[in-house]
Amino acid sequence: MKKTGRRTGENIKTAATVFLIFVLSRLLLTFVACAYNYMTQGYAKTWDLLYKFDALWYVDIAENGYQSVPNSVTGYANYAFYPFYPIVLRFMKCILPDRFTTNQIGVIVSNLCTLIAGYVAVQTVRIKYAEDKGYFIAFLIFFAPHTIYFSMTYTEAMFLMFTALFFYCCGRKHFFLASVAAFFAAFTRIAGVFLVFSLLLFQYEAEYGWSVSRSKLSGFIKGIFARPLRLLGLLICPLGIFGYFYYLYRLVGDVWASAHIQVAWHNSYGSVLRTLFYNLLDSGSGTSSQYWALYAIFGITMFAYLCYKKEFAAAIFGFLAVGISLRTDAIAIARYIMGNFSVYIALYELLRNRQQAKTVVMSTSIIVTGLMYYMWFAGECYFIF
Amino acid sequence: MKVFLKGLLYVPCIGLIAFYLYVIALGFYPQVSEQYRAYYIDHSVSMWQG
Repeated sequence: MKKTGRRTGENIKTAATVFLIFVLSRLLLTFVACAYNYMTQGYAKTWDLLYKFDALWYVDIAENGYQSVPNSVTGYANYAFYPFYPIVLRFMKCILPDRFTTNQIGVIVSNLCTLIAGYVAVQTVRIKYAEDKGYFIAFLIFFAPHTIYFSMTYTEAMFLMFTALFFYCCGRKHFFLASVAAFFAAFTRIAGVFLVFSLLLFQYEAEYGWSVSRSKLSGFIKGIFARPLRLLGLLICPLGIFGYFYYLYRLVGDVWASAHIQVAWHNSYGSVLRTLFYNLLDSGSGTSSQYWALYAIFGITMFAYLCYKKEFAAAIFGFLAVGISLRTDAIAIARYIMGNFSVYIALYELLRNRQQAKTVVMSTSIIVTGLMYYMWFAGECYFIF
Repeated sequence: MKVFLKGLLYVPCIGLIAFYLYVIALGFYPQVSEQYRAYYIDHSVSMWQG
């Protein structure tokens, strides 16, 4: 009884501290919005300043649903964007007073998801490092460069929250709950479907550690089929996304319409190496392509570091989720990398015992994020798109 | 009772596998216009003429 009480007190303290870091991060956002308004002599509200690029698509889906025919001029269609986030916006729009616009609801939902992700992330690192306070990972989620999307009507925050919950549940060995989190992650962004491989690795590690042999592998596979709850957990992960594919078949007549529509936005390089090569050396859109390619290399290095730390489940999710985007192009890859929970695990592991490096990263993050918000508000900055 | 419940859990598993296979099979037979197929699937034209 005493132990439970102490644990509840500890959880409240953690939640309060995470909330404080979160408020500071949103203070930075609001300060930059004020600075932007001062510089431009404008009076735009913060949520209006955040309402750009993909946010317009999500608001359109939430308000009008999916279109069955691509735009006759551009060839774009809103079914390129996955459904769970707009579903939540639509649901919230129904229960909240009319004075809230869909974009405002998106901002609220994303910020709430970010806050939960920060709290869950702290609890996740404490599973492995019980002696750590772990607040640094929350700081990274709230302040790191390219986390600005977590405060606007983008899916990144919700996706991060579900992946953080997935890793937390796996850390606690609640594998069925983890598969439910993976289901929602995949329903939010297709990359979430790769969590099924992480789930398999977590389950294998829980049974055999990292000792691999033929008999252990076959025993593990047999074990999956012998335990229907485990099998059901694995099969639940891609349910949302397959449901969406079926919906697209009914709507457009093409199961893979959300993948096929990408051709309207950009051509595919066809492989990760080709994407990196052409973006680094033969860049079509100038320095932004080189920036994205270098960011991709940073992400891949972080995932390789996770392998070195024997965090294979997190590493495989990072490699596959970022790899699927890189196969097509490096465009906006910084957003996908910083929306991937594996990167935060890697950065935390890398910096947790390096106080000086931590201080440098924290100071740089605040400055760069402030600058990125400003560039976003100005709306002319293609490389943070 | 426990064995029965365990056996019952295989039913949704089989249902899900059947659903996934059905959706994958539908993927081989898109019901789309010629223009859609040419631009989005075959990439035989470079401009969308919807």
